[in-house]
Amino acid sequence: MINSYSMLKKRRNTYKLLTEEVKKLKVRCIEKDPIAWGRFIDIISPFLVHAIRCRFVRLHFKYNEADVENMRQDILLSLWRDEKLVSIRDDDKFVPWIWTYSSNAVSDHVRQVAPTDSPNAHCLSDPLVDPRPSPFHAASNSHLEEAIDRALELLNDREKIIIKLSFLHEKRYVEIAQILNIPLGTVLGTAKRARDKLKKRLKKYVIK
Amino acid sequence: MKLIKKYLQEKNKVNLFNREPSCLTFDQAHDYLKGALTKEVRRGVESHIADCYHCLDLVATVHDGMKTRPRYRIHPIQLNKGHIVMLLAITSFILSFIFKRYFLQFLVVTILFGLKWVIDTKSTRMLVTIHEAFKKGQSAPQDRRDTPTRKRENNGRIEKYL
Repeated sequence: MINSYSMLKKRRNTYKLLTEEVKKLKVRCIEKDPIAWGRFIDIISPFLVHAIRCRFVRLHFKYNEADVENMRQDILLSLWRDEKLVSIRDDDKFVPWIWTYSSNAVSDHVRQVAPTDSPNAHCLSDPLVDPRPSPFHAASNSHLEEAIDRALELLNDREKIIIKLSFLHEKRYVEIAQILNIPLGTVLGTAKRARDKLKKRLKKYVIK
Repeated sequence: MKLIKKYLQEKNKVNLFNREPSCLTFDQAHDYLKGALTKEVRRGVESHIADCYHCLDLVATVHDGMKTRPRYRIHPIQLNKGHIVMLLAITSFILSFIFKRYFLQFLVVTILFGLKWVIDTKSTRMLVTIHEAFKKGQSAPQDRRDTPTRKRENNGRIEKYL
């Protein structure tokens, strides 16, 4: 018991909330104090790396450690060069802001790196098999896509948001309740209703 | 449901980067999540994010950022090789005064550890590198001194002081 308490106390001493330290450093960083920037980079880097990795995973992008490191350096450089810290007026917004900023930077990187569908993007080493779906599959897919689109259009706003957050962003219902600022029970009920509606409308496309 | 998930993912890939002028800003998304908006504005935001993939992604991202409670580790004092050598040098120096019989021996040890510390430290290495670079490119500063801008600067300084 004593051991676990001392461990907890030690942990409390060795870990500190990032926001508290950053609040102190922000003003000095805006004035471009090199020592403050050094400390800021030391503190913020693990958080940035975590945000970058999360974004890469969400965008289903194959990345390696070099990509993460490059992104981290690019983000820190743009923070320094473009004086982005000035735009954060509310200190409480700092952590979500930096998370969103790094996520946007990763999205831009992915958009630039992602292969285009232009004919020049393919080289001679590519297999000579046409990767596109056959005309039959394309026709049936487009038919199905239209049906899904119509089914989704018939849902109300809240149902659409819940379905998209759950399917697309893989959010748990508790998180969705936090986002929409509604009780968990309401989210569960709305999600069930939305799923039933979709099932009913897409019933004829399901192969048993 | 898998089909809908796949369909939404494909659609998200296309529409994620389509930002319109009516799209939410970071502050709006943050206020929405904090519950700082009025009912009408909130309804307006919800009707927008229901159809806009970009804004829904922004709201989800800001929520992720708000949810994370980042902490950082305060590193306790870590002794590296340089510190240990320096401590040994100081200890032997103190010991040389305590055991006067072995004063010279301890002093030699102190000098050896001191030299090792000086050679090992990064700043010494940096100084050596700077010295070497200066030796190699000694002609460069002289050339620079002759440039017209430099001359003008010097003249300005002299005039200022006179």
